[in-house]
Amino acid sequence: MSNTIYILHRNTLLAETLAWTLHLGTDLKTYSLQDPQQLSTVVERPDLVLTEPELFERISEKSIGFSFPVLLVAADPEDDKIIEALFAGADDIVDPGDGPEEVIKKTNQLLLHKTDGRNLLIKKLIQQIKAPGKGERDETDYGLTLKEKEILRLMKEAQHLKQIAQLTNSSYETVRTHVKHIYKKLGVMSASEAVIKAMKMDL
Amino acid sequence: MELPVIKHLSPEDQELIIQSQQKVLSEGDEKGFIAIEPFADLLDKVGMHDESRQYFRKIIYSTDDILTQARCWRKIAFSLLGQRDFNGTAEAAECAAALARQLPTIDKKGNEEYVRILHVSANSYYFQLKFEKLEAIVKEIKTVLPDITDIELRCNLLHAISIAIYVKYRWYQFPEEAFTHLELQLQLTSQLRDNFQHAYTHCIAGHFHMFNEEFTIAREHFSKAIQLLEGKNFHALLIAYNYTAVSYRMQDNIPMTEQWALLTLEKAKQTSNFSYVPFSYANLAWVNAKRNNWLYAEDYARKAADDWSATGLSCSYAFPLMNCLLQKKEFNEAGQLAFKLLHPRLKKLPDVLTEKLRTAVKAWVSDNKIELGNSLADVIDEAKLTGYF
Repeated sequence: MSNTIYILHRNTLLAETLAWTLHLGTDLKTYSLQDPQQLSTVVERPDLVLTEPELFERISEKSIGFSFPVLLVAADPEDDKIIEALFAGADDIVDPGDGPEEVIKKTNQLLLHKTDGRNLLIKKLIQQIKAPGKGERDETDYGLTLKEKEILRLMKEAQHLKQIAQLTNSSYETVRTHVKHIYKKLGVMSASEAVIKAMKMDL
Repeated sequence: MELPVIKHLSPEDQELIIQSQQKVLSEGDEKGFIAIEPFADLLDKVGMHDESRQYFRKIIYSTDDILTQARCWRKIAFSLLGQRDFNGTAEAAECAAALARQLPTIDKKGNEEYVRILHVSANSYYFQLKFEKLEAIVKEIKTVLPDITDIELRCNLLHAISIAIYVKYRWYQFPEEAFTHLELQLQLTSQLRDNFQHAYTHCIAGHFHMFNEEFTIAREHFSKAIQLLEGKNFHALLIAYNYTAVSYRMQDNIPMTEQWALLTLEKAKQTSNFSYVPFSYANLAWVNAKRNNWLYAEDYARKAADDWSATGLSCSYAFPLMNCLLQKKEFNEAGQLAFKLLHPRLKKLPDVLTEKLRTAVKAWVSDNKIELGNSLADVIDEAKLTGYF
């Protein structure tokens, strides 16, 4: 049976090119979409969604119910938004600048469930920690509750929010609320910044 | 039974068709029905694919014999393949295979039919760039090949192996083993009474030599094919015409490319072999781009792109189109073309050209217009040096 892939990207030309790339010589059914909301109305359930980090945020915010694997399409893999998206449950990243072969390879890996986004996330976080000026120890606990500290610790282990929800017996939305509180207390804007601070706090 | 329009055929073919039709009409109902199949075969052979398929269908719906039905579906698939209708080919080949599988395994004719169906399926997957499926079929073909004694069928199977070689090396720098295989195929097809297979194998040999940049040898093979076909079987003839044009193009010979491309275009339209129309447009796009006639070049290249069906050789229209887009500073679409040319199912390009395309793709994806413009200009220069533009 052929797999169905949706490509959700605001750059129509790139979306169409990616759809063409994956469709050529295969039985994959590929569709390009511009609005995340369209995903909730598609007739054929996606086996994989390729999207940009900005639109992925909207998919998770709207709780469209992304039980499908997600491959992030990003020209700049060092962008903080990617780490956010990986925390929120995206599975892997591909830079189309690496050419069609790389897009096909990553897509096939995800269709065969052969990727480990968590390892990728840990790798990216380590890179950020190693960045100059980010190594000093921080003794403050910023008034975090025990629950928030637990969630932050799990985030540090590069668990996705969906997994954190399972591990803490909470709903995805509850975890998201805790994460928002953590951001506020730590004075950060993103999961990567929060994790860097957590590492400095030696949580 | 109405006689199809045959005025464009050679007098000999017209005569053959009239005789064959008279045979169908003069026999009684039962024998007349049997005579329809050779009549349909003849129509297909002279390139009258639409008409031939009508008769094959007539047979399928009038008989309960599974082998006959399977055979006619296979012939329909092959006829559709001649017109590069790949979805139709795949569907017809599937019908044929499903019927052939119902036949008892000890049935020699049934087994033979199944092998013929494998051949048509291999062709269909080749044109659809479904490499994995082609590989699987060829693997099956290699296991049955030693038991096949019928020379024509052996030739067909060797042809399927040839196209698997195209795919393996992606139409680029074939190894010595490919030519050894072709020698065997040429030797075997020369034993057949009908020249078509032999001529077709010369076309394939020409193709292999052309992509190894041995243009004179390539044209000798195409010329031999044209000679053997004697103006019959337009499908094979058009392959020879078209790739003669491509061989001149790769040598930067503008007048000869134009002459052969126009001949291909005229014959392809005249005989409803529309798959060679876009390829001819691609060659004419190149001719016009070389003469700096950008408007015509773009028009031809876009027509080629719209109806492209010639396997992984889309670089034929892509480089001229890219150059037209560069002239108009439409970098975004040119960048998209660069990305597409790197697809692993399309023709492999020389390493330096590939690297330059990669640089252009990086610039396209990161929306760096200045870098994109410069790198695309580099791509065109390199394509000119290597005979791709």
